[in-house]
Amino acid sequence: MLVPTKAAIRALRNVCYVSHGPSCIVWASRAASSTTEAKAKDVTDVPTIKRTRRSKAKIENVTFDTSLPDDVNEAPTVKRTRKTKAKTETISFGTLLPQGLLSIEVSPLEDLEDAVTFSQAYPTVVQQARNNMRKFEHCVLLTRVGSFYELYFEHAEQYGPLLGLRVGSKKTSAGPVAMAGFPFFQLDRFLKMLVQDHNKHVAISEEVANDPSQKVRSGGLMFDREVKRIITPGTLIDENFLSPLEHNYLLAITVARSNDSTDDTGDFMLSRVGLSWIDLSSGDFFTQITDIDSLSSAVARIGPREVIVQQAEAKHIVGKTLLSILDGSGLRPSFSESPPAVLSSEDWASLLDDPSATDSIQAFNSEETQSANLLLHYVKGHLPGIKLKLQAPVRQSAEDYMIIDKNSLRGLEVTQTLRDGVFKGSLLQAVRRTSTESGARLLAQRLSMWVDSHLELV
Amino acid sequence: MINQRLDLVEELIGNEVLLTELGELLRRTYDTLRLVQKFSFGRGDADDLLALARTIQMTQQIKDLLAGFSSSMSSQLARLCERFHWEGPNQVAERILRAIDEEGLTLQQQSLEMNEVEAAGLARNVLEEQASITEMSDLKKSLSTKRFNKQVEAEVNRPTTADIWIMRRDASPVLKNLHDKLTSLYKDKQQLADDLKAQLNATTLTLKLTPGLGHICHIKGRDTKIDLTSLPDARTVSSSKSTRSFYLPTWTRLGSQIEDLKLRIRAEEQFIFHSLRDLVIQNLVLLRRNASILDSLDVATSSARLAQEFNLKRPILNHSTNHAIYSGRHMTVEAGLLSSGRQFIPNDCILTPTERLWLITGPNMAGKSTFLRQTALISILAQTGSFVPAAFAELGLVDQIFSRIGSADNLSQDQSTFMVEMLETAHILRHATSRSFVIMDEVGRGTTPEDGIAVGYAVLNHLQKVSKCRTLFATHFHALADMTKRFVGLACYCTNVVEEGQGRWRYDHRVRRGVNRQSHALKVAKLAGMPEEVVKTASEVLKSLGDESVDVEV
Repeated sequence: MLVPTKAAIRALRNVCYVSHGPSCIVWASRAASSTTEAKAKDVTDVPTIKRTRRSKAKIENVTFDTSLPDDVNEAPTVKRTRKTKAKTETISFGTLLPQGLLSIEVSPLEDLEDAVTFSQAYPTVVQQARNNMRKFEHCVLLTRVGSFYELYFEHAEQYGPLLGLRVGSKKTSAGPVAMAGFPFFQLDRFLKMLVQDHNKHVAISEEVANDPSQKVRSGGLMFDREVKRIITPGTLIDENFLSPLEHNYLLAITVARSNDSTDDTGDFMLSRVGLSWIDLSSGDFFTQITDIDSLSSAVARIGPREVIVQQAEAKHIVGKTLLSILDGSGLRPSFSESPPAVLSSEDWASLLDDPSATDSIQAFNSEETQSANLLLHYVKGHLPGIKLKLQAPVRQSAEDYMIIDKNSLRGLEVTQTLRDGVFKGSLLQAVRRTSTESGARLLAQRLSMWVDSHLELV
Repeated sequence: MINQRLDLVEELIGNEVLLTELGELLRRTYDTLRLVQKFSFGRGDADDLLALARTIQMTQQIKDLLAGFSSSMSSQLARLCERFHWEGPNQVAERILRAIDEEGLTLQQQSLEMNEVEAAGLARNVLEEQASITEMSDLKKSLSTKRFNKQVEAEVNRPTTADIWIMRRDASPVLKNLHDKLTSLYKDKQQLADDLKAQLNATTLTLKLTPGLGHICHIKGRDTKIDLTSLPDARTVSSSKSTRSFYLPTWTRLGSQIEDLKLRIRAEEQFIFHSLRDLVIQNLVLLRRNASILDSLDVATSSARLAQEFNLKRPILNHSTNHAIYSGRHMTVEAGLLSSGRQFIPNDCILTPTERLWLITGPNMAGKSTFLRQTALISILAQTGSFVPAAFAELGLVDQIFSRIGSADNLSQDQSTFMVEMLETAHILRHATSRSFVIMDEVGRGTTPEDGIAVGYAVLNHLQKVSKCRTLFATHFHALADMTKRFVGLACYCTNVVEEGQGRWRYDHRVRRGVNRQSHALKVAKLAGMPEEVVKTASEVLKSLGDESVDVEV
């Protein structure tokens, strides 16, 4: 495991101040208000402190409780705490901050070497990583450890070389664990590689400061870790590598299943398809109905970065056609489980920035609302705990717009050239003279998605 | 919709000054939609708030600018002005600018960057060391505490890091209070330092805060040997040849008071920050609307500038199914030609109920494909609310545009097989309505000439009789012209090659009425550098197959 440097911690703290607010202030305060009882200790002392503590009666800190070799099966930490409190009154976690973080990473390992038995096979951080990897099995897991992000187990072996990282190995009592990591300030760079270039979903497990009771419970760890965000190509919000001149759409497709029995008869090409797409970075949100036949053109016009389809679709023939159409457009859909329930108007009202818009949503077709449901369910799953405040979805219907079909978009080189698929040489490049980035996005939309067919304002 | 957009562009074109100034102001705005979206997710920092505030101010300036000009016009501009929302956003901007201290923010960023650079450097060291170490214990040994402590100490005592505030002192009454208290505590600290210096006669005395030892008094140099007995409460911490540190309860107390106060100030700043953020979220809807108005303005200025640059004209749109384009041009091709000193030949395209389907024959590279494309592009441009590259254009609204311009000659990967052609054609035939616009280039390639002609004929038949939409159909199969002689609404046009004598020839890019029965393929072959004998053999075969001379009906 890579040990964070003091200066890195300090830098980290300052970064935390800006983006994480109060929780980090608390942490910072503990570091700043070092008490006078604090004594400088060498890092190399850390393992020995445990040993001396056993012999010395005086105990200075609570964090190394897990080192007790005896009574391991009972809660050793609790016992130790009580004894400690009798001897000293300092809750000098702060004094240990500079070393504390170091020692946290050290202690579980050291403990394992000392302890006779231990309930966990792996140290807490690694075990949590394993659990997360199982929980989010289609994602690449990045775990924040100090001022590094780490990959463990198969992820390190598989993605380490892909990202150009050196794959090391960490000794644990349950065997060596493959490990690869990079410093925190390079996150954007590696995220870009994983998400945009390799089309992976990335789950990021961030550190959350433990309050005193949690600290005691976890055996002295300063931080717990939680997955706060799963980053996929379609759910980017404000990452640096997001291109400001283009939209980043996430598209959800649902197929109306009118006749369950007749799965293989003819006109499923006319089955209605509900489309719902959103750009989380700019808030644009649209819905539309179309049919399977026109689907490829619709998808080409929208140009999504990620497509979501319900898991159950794959079994039906209509679903299979859908998947082959997407395949033909070069898109591999992400599968999502079905959303639990249809959103009621109260649900909508709480999601939208303008609650009065809920009425217009009631007028949507069922396919549109279904796809909107799927879309929002997926988004919420990937941004857990974040309260969404979206623009109301705008309904697009075929009558309002000139539809440029897929071949025309390509053949007429509206947004990309035929030969190289690049922007330079396309109609959009020839026509764009905008001064702002969001103006550029609107223009791109107007050329491909939204060519009007109404002369006057309706 | 479209007409209103065209009106807006027209107003802007007329006014060079307005156009330039508007562009300037727009350029100085920030991407509001994305900023505002960040806040709605609970992200976004002080910098974003400032950017938002500045943008709101810019919006006000834009509105004033427009108001100044639109008094003279009836105006789309005026109507656009009215749609801006003022009160909420202005309030937001005001509060943000009053609260945030921009200088402090810049300082903080600088120090953050320095820290990052340091962290990067140190991390690199660690990684380098790690490269040769896999054992945890070895790693520990390689990092010594003393070195770290010194570095951290240096940072703590650097005045900038500890004391940068991002909010102005008077951003809130509470904050003002706290800052006043802090100032007085600092005065006390200074006083204490001076007193101690006087008392001990030690000029190098400094009151410091270190992470390892806490609040200490530090002496160095020749004063190290002074006597501390005058301070009974002093407890020596460490001493060496050149330095000496000791604790003093008064300083310890004062120091921790200062630190506490700083924390409270930071907490208050956070509180203010969060309330600003909440204010933004409350005004989310209005801010978004303003942003989309700015976007429309931006696109309109873009169209206006484009029109000036390429000499575009305003199209007239109606609900008919006719197309009348005089001297239409293809913008990108024209630009390319101009840059190599050549001229682009404009062409007319007039589709009426009696001539709804144009069957276009002629040699390759004579401009058939370009003609097809430019007509489609003109329709697209017109309906986005932009001016078009033509001397005059009166267009019926199009509901769908279809094209089968396989362009196998351009695609390196996707060789257009007959199957793909058929798929695309099938799609068109099934979906085209009478309001659609279809362009087809070389349907029936990739199979035998007989099959090709048969399919071509059938497609033309369908388009003519069933779809009844405006179509431009380019082909090499001039036989189709004869076969469709009796079609109502179909007209034949062609491009040509002009012989200039002595074996020299050039393309005539003008599309005229008639049928071109010669594809002049051999000319192209010769141009491409085919061996002489090959070309000669081919021309003999052609003669024996019954080559007809060019038949251009006027």
